[in-house]
Amino acid sequence: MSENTTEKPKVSLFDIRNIIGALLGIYGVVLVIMSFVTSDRQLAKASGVNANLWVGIGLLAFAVFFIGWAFLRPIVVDQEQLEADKRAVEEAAHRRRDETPD
Amino acid sequence: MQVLASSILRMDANWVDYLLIALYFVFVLGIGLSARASVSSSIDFFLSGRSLPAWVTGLAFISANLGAVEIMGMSANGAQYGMATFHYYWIGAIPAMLFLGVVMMPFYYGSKVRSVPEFMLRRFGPEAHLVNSISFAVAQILIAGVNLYLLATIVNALLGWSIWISTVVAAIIVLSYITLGGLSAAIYNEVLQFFVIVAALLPLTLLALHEVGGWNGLKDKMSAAGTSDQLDSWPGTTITTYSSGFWSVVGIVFGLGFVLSFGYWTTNFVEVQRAMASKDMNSARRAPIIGSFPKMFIPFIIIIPGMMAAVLISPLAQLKSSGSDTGAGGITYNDSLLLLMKQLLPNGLLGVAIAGLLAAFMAGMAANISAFNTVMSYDIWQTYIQKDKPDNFYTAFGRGATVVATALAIGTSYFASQFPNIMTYLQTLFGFFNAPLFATFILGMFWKRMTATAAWMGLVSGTLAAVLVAFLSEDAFGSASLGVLHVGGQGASFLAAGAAFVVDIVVSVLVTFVTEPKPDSQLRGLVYSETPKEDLLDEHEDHWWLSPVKLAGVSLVMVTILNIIFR
Repeated sequence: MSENTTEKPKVSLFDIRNIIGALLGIYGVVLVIMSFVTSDRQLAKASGVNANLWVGIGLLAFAVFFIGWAFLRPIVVDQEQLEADKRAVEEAAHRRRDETPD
Repeated sequence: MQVLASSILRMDANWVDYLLIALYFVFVLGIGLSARASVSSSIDFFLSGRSLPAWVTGLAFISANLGAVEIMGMSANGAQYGMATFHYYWIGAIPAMLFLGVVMMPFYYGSKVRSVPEFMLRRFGPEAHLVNSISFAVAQILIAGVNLYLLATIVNALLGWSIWISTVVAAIIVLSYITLGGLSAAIYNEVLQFFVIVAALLPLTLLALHEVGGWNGLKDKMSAAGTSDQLDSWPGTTITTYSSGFWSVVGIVFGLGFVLSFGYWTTNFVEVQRAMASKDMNSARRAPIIGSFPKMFIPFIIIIPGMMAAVLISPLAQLKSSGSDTGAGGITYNDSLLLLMKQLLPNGLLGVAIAGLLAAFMAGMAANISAFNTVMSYDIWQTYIQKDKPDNFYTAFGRGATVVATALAIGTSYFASQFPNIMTYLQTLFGFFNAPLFATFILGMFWKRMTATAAWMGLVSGTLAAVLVAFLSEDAFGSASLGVLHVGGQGASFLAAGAAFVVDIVVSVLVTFVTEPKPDSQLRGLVYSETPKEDLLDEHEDHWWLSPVKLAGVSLVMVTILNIIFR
């Protein structure tokens, strides 16, 4: 990592919650749109329940929750602590390599 | 799954369904590309830099296992045997996951090893380490091949793509995101997969429940079909095939619940690697415990739909009443979930469901490959072949190992398509490696005297004992089994694993007393009595849900209640 991450813990841009929210949100939009054009024959599959509509709404609600969660509680990475931990693992591995007999 | 079944399973997917499936793969590859930015060392590539939050590693922990074998197999068991299938979750998974988080993870994470075999190396030296690493690496290639083959047959059945094209396309997608982003890409995709599969299976379950007339409707229909005994989960004689109810309960609790599941969940690096990618000790311990909460509810969206498929889908109901293995149009119990999807889901939701299944199957394979490349690079190559290369050499090696592993998995998937029975027996065989591993680990972690010689001799003799029992049983190795012992089906596996565990313990104890132990000074972090308590504990326990032990207690109470409600 770059040298300038000394003082402030960095907020990570890549957050899996946004990605999950985005995919399921898009699925929700597509399903809600689909629900208006679902044919009667398709509706009959689930005895008239408009499954696309209900699942679409559910997915949209879920997406809002996830993106909201990521927005309100962003990941804060303590870069220094992480780097220190990683170095400790690497050093432990190095010590072991020197110990193991050939 | 037979190619015969393809016409009856073919989904009438339209362009919207394909759009939703394609969108999923855009996200999968996007995650691979984004994760690439965070790979600057081999620890980043193989262990996600030990940087992930507990809920992410916890969900990845259960998703890695939520592949084709579990989804198809457990819904099939639900259709065929009913509620007894719940034991694979509530008895056969949750207690072991809690044990891993509470008891074993402090040793794995705290000793700063990079893999489960590496723990073996530090505790017991190179002999036991080699046995563990090589058997693990070989098993992963084989299981990745089985996952790939199942994936291809399902794409073939659902969408009509040829087996060959499905195999290669799936392999290339998995390959690209793992070579790009390493374990982070695999884990993030597992978490995404978890939500997509729930988005697919939860509506399917609710629609099927609506169709069958609710829980009481299912009960009535099962009584009408003469299978109301399948609404009880105990004593589970259908899955053990033991004639005595008492021994069936003993077999499920000790064989499945203790030996097999503790062996699998606590020593299998595919699982443990996910928890080891956590950002600190507290998160690493909580990962499998957090995973246990969704895990205890997953059977409701896998097994219950299987049970409902067996009363809602008429060819399946006929298959069940006939008692044979294959029904009209070549369908089997494995097709339960697919038939239910086809019958109930409208276009749109169908696309989400197919994306969810493909996601789960690919994530299963990706988990095998990402665990394989770590063991291959660190445990085999760096430990025995080229020790002192710079760190980026091993990252590059890991990427290369991923390519080779994927190519080998295509090979084993072809083998699986030609010799499905042999693959089943090989999987049974690899299942036997876990039981003695657990015995060796648990002895080694709590008994400082245990020696290196005892470890590898225990492992080898335990595994041989399991193989012997499997040969003497009725059908664990198919027609190669002799039938001297009158146990078959899952019951034979429980017995074989139990024998492996006991023999491993006995041999390890006997050999330990005639060989020289390691000096105590080398056992810090590896053996309970030689590790200062502050090394094993984690600091921030401000809330009960941040304490691994309390959280595990809550999980245990909940799973006990579920067991009582659905007894």
